[in-house]
Amino acid sequence: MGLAFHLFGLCRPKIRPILTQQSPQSAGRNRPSRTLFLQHKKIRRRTRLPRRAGAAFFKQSEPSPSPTALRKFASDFWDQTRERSKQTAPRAGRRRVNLGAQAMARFDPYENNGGTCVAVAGADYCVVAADTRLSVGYSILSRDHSKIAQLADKCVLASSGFQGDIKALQKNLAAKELVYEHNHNKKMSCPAMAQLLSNTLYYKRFFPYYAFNVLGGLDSQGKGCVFTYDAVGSYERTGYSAQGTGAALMMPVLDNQLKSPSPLLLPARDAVTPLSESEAVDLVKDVFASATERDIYTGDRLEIVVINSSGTHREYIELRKD
Amino acid sequence: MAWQQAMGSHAAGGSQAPPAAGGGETQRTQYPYVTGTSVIALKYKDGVIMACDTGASYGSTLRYKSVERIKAVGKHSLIGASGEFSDFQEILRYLDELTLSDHMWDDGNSLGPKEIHSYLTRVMYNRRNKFDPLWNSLVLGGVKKGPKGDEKYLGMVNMIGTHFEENHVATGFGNHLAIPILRAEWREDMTFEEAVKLVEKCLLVLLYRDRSSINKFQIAKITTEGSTIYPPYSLKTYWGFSHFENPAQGAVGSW
Repeated sequence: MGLAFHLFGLCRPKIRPILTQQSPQSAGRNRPSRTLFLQHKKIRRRTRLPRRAGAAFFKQSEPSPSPTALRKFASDFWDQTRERSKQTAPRAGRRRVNLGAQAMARFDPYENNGGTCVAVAGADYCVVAADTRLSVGYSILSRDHSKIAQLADKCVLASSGFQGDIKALQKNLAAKELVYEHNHNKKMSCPAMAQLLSNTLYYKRFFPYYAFNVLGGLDSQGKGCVFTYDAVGSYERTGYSAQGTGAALMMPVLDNQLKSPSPLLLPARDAVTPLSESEAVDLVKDVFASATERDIYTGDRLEIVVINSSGTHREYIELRKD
Repeated sequence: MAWQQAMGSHAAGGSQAPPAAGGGETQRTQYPYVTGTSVIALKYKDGVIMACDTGASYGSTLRYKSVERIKAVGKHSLIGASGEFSDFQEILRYLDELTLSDHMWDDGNSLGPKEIHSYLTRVMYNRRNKFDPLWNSLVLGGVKKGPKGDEKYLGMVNMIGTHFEENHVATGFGNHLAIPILRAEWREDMTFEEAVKLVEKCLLVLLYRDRSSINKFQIAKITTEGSTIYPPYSLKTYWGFSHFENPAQGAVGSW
């Protein structure tokens, strides 16, 4: 006995009972003929009907569908499949839509308008700075657009990210500060504003403000404080911080120059920098001038706000415009 | 689906899968249909000048050739729009309502360009928050008497609510082609004639290089005397540049 015969002999009894088997559902039905079975097989193959398609159709046809009915079923099956694929929502993300010959981008609610924010806290002062470039992609929209908002007399917020969200966030905080002022007959402290900002960001956790914030000011003891955030509200009090497109270029330089004590030390060491106010301002100017060399989203002009016991004052220096 | 029949599936290019919006569900603008191209505007000595062409395209088809895309808003402002034309008309309805209710106070105060721009930024940002944007870039210019004399204002806002003020602005293609010219040649103290010349220079560059722009332009100005929208006119073009006649000349491949 050859292998082929052996296989045939083994397989054949297995196939045949399936064709002739009388299941409870098909009891009393006529047994499908071998020719009809082969015809069905051929039609299924030609119409590329998937193996499992039409189980229900086969069950309900009495005794067994005619080749014409099967062909009709296959064509209907594919029509429905096509229709279904049209109705499913397009995948999320930036997909190109063809409008005539013009390819249009799908709606994206965010854009990154770039820019960098830095804050440095000292023993009795805080420096908050940000560049004034507003860009999108390779275009510059404006060379003189402020990213800094004065939220209270000893509390200044600098934000980079999506300009629409930033303005909405800063207006929202300013409005809440005003309500606080009316309720408590005093300005909000910087640490209080820090917690409010965190809550405000987290409130929109699932449709976040695309804003990267640095909050600087003086705490209730008059000591400089800096709070640094991510877009959904986790925050930390530090001695200095950078956020935005140029942050990766500035942060290592600040780390090197300011050497903040480890937050793991016990008892906790003061995070404020040892620099004098003018030294801190000069450092901020230097890190911006440096980041402007390599970050295309940072440049044009630098806005510096210095907060100390005598109030706040603003100064501007020019940065590279290319 | 109903909206497919209403729009005609060919309108969106046929093969595009529509959003899952059956009967009774809300529908949002996924992409624009009839769009206007660039608007450019700049401040000059007496106020703000704004210009654009009068075309509106349906994809790459120039569907409407004589539409006004610059309109006066209240007494002190001009608005110019690029992007979806129907959304612009909706915005004009909002602004009509706003200026009418402001007028009805009858208190001698009126909304200036700053206030109108602020209103527009909130409308645009709100609609993007609803994932139902108004598909436009809007330019708002105006002059109003303030405590420090005549205050000129020129601002822009886009479909997701990014907004800013500038001395000269341009939307769409204009941001790439007109802004460099404006940056090089704009001055604060330009006369109206100089401003028109500069604007025409920008429009001509856009006409040559932006295929959806047409040679029928409108210029508008706003000063303390009020707004003037001039009737449309054409610019003289010259297509005899050697690179227009033989664009492939000099573009030799390396193989």
